[in-house]
Amino acid sequence: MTMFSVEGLDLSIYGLPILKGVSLSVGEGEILGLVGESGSGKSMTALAAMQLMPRGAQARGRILLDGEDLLSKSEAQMCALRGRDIGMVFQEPMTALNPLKTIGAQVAECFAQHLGARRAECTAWAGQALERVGLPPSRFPLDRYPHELSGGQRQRVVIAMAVALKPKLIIADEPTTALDVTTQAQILELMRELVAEEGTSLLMITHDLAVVAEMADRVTVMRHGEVVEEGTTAAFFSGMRHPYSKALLEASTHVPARRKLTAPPILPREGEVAPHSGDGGGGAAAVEGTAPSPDPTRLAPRGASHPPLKGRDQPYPSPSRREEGPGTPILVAQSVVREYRGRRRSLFKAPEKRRAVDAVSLAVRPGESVGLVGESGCGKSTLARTLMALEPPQGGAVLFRGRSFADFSAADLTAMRRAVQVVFQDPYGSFDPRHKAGRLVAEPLHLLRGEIDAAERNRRIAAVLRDVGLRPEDADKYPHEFSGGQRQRLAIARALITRPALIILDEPVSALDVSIRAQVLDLLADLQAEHGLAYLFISHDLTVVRAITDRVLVMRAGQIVEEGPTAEVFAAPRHAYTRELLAASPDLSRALAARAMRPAGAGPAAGEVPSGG
Amino acid sequence: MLVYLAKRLASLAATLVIASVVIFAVMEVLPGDPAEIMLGTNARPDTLAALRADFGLDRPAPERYAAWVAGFVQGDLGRSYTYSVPVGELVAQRLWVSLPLAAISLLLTVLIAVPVGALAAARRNGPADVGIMAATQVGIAVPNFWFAMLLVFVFAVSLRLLPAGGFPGWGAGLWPAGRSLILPAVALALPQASILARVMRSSLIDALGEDYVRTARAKGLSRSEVVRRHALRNALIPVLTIMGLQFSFLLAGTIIIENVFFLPGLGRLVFQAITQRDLIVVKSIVMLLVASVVIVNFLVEVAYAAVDPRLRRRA
Repeated sequence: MTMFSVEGLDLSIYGLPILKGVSLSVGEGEILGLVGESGSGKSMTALAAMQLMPRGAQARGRILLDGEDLLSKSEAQMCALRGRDIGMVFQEPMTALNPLKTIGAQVAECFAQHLGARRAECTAWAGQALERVGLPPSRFPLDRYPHELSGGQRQRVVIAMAVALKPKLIIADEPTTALDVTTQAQILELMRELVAEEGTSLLMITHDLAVVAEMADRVTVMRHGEVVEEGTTAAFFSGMRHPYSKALLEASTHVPARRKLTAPPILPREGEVAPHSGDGGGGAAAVEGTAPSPDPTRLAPRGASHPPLKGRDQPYPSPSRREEGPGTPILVAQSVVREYRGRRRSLFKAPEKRRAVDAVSLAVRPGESVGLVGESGCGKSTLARTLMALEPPQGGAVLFRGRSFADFSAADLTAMRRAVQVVFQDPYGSFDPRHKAGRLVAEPLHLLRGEIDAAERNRRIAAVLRDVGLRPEDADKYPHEFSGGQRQRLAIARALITRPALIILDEPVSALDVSIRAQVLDLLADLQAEHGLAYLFISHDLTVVRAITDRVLVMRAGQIVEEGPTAEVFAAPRHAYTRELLAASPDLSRALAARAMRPAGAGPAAGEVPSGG
Repeated sequence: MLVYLAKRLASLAATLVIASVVIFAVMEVLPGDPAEIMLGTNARPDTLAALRADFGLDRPAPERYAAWVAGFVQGDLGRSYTYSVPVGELVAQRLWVSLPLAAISLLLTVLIAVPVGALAAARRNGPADVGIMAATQVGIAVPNFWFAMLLVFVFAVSLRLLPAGGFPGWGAGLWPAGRSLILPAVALALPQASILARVMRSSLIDALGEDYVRTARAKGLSRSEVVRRHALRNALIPVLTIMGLQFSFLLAGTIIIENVFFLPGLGRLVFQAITQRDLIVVKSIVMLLVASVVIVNFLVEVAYAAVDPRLRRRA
């Protein structure tokens, strides 16, 4: 039976059409995955259902909840209905809660609003609601404020509010996009449980096909405000008809073709790039580049013994062996320690120290692509700032071409900055909006200290813009005139202009849609082959790291818990944390395999006890 | 919380010390000898010297600074050169005019600005908003003494509802004394309220665009319930900041307004003291004004902590 349906919904904002004849339906107790890239209109469809559309929005068509048309309801009727019959979970848990009110008060408000009950009663119910989402008042008192909770815990509070009154429909708009993979797995599990317990319908909006494959009973794909394809999840993934769905799937599992030599990468001498040959080191890289096939052994439950190691005749390379590898590494971290002053417990004691980076060692060799994986707060960005000599380490040393930063003169530092460039996550935030693209891209050229004249400068700007797939004429545009993917290309061009040996990429594709992400990954792979670049690729996204790196380091709570050739680490993780990360990260092929194996209607095995992110 | 307050108190004390040094130094540099002003230009040098010795003006500057600060802390503000009465007495009398005046204006400012700004934000781009924005623009552009004259013309001269000036003293009763403060307070408050209303409006508009407002709407709260229960308190934080800054403008405003309305307050006292080179009075009043501004800003900081739990720390 259909619980919620949208029929021929047209929506325009100030006359600009946003949704064109959108139709979809969610059955009772069913999970519908609504998939699409940014701007496809999936969030607008949800807001139309809630009648919380932005100013100037005009909706035509029908939105039926349990047989009643929501579009014909008055604002007062909608207020009575929102929160009671439809619950909503949003993307950004960090900002979705009022910072000035306790979590207890915010959850209790749902009951007070719709049941008109007394305060004490509402508070008691709020405690129960929070208990249901894994925040028992014994450990998370109701008088906690949102800033005292982590992102995952805050999302639990939002979910508690959404399910508080046992609504008929829950709309979840990218509920886990802003969360770490292990937290994401817990939140998805929680939502699945709650929906199954109450028989609630769930409209799950996401850009992530792997999440859909894990969660949804049926799938609807949107693009440019229109529904392009829909069907049951199994049928959808086995026989996609629409080319856009196929493109989306290809992009989600995209592995850039890396023109990688089986011999070790090109190695420099005294800062010059020169070819060199040797053995070892790069051998594992040859394995990379082949798409990871669904490995049946990875479906084994967690805690099972390691799958047999395949394609490896050597023992796990020890750090000492790697140090003996050929060529001078561009950048080496030796037991780097970064500490922050923590809170002062008492006026008379020294403030406690918080170790953000704890004795981390790593090396990046010319032409090599190294991944640094970890969840938010694990210290990976702090480590990156230290590697760029933006902050000094409190212990250990960072060596650039064999010399420690500590001994550097200003000129040495300039030379280092020419050779080590950086690309950040948010392309828009890292550009001054009042500067033109040409000037932005040319920014690092000041490191060349007037070695090149204006003509050469312009030649270089044109060259790097062409390198990243933009046109030289784009130099006259402002950042806001570029799309998100193009801005990330600009950021890469800016890093390329000093002709560096190493680029540190800090979550370079996390903010991008899957199809754009695939293009940027391809570009990075091409540039690496063309210019013999080394990458230090920092990300929380295991799929991306697997696709583009030769070696990977897994970081947790400031320490490297595992490192090794990417293919080996992913195929046979040795550390429990790596296994946990791999198991938690949504994986399309694994989700589909699991779906094929489990009998219809049965939920996935209940996993971990939620610890609250 | 205690650490937070202790830090604020320490910076408050430091501000006062620095302010006292600056005030003292400026008074030293200013031309004009109090003794000469009091005795006239024809006074005999030995009389002048005697008078200087009497006031302690012949001692070195650091010593006089120390004596001034020590006296100030103990409540002894010295003797006025012109009135020959203790400055403390002089100030205390005047304080009972200026303090109520400033307090009433501040209260009026908040009472006008918060609802008006909130209304404008809630009716964004509607006729009420456009009207309020136009009115506050005028309120900011027009100086307070011109308002004062306008108010006197309308309420005192034409309608004869309120006195045009003067102050009967609190001895005359609460209402006779209080009503003579109404027009000055309104004249002082209007420009400040105009500024604060605009801050309130933009702050509330920002708050209404936040994600938690959308969450609250999804819970079933109506637009006005969201404003009252969620957005308003969040919007007050920037308003508090501006309010703290406005207090010093309010004090500066009293100097002009008290002269317009012939009110025997601190503002008029300091104005007269400057023209008569009564430096000890000027020094002490300026120091008092600085202290009151610093204290008000401290109270604002305390209010932040009361409003925003993120500034409080769990013990």
